[in-house]
Amino acid sequence: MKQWRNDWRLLVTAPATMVGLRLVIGGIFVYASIDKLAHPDQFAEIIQDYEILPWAVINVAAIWLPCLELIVGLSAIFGVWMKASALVLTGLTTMFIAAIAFALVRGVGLHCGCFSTSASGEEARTWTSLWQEAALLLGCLWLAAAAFRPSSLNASRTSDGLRRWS
Amino acid sequence: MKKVQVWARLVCKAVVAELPRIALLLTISFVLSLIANAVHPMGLPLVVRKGLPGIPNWITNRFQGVDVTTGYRLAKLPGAILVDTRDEEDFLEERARQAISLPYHGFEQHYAVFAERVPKHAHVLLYCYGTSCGLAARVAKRLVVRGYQQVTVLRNGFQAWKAKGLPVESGGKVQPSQIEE
Repeated sequence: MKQWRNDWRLLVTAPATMVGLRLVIGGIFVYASIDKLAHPDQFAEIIQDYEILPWAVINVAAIWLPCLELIVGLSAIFGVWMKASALVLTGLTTMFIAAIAFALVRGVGLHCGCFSTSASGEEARTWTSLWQEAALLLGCLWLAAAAFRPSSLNASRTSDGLRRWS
Repeated sequence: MKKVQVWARLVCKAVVAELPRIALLLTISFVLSLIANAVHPMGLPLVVRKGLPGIPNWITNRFQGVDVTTGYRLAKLPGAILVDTRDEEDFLEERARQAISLPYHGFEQHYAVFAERVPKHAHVLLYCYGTSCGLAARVAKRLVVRGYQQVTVLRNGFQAWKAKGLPVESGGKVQPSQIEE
C-alpha cells in the first residue's frame, strides 16, 4: 500500500507530468482567450447576460479578462512565475464556476462564453456540464499544489547525477 | 486539527509572499488589455455613459432611439421596415403589425434571409420586449457593422407599443419578402 502511494506520488509530481499539466492548463486558458480578445463586444454581452456585474464595469471586465487569461496561460505554459500564475488560474476558474452556478441557480439559460463568444460555438451550460469546469479547477489546484512544492517542479540533481522526485 | 491549522498558515504565508507577482500579472494584463482595446475596431468605452455595455461608441452614435409612437409613424414611410428582435415564439404569438422577425437569439441563422430581402439603405426600426430589454440595441449593432445605414431602436419595446394601443397581429410569420421596398 505504502509502495503504491509512493509510486502514485512520484507519478503525479514527475516533471513530465507537470510539464504536460502546465501545457494543458495554460493551453486551455490561451485558447479560451483568443475568441474573446477578437470579439470584446460580444463577450461584454455574454457578461451582461450573467446579470452579476453592474453595467458600469462590464466593458472593463470584457476587455481585461481575456487578456488576463492569455497572460497567465502563457505564464503557465512557459513556467514563468508558476506560483503566482497557478493561484490566478485557480482564482479565475473558481470565479467562472461560481458565476455559472449562480446563473443556473436563478434559472438563467445562458451561453457560457467560456471558449467562444458565438452562441453557436458551444452548448448552453447545465449543472451536468459543470464537470468540465470542475476538472479544470482540479487541474489548476494540482498545478498550484505542485508549484508550492519546489522539488516537484524543479528537479534537483543529486551527487549521483540522478533526479530525485519527492 | 492542529495539523490543518499549521497547513493553512503555511498556505496563507505562501500566498501572501506571491501577492506582489500576482499584482504585477494583473497590472501587466490590464495595461495590455487597454492597448488592445484602443487599437481594436470594436474597442469598447471603459465607462458606459449612454447605450449598453458591449457597444462601441462609434456604433452607439450610428443608431438612434425613438419612442414607439414616432417609430410607428416612421414605419409607415416608404422604405421603412419594422423588425422584431424577440424570440420567434413570442413573435408568432403577438407582434407589431407588419413587423418581420430577426431574433437576437439565432441572429446568424436568420440574417442571411434578412440580408437578401432587406436592402442596406432601408430604414430598419427595431424593437424588443420592454424597458430593460437590450436585444434591439444588440441587433442594431450587428446591422450597423454589416453596413445598414439607417437603424433606429424603439425605446421601451413591444410593451410600450401595446400600452400605446398601436396595432398588433399574431399567427403566421410575415416573411421579409412581403415588405414593400
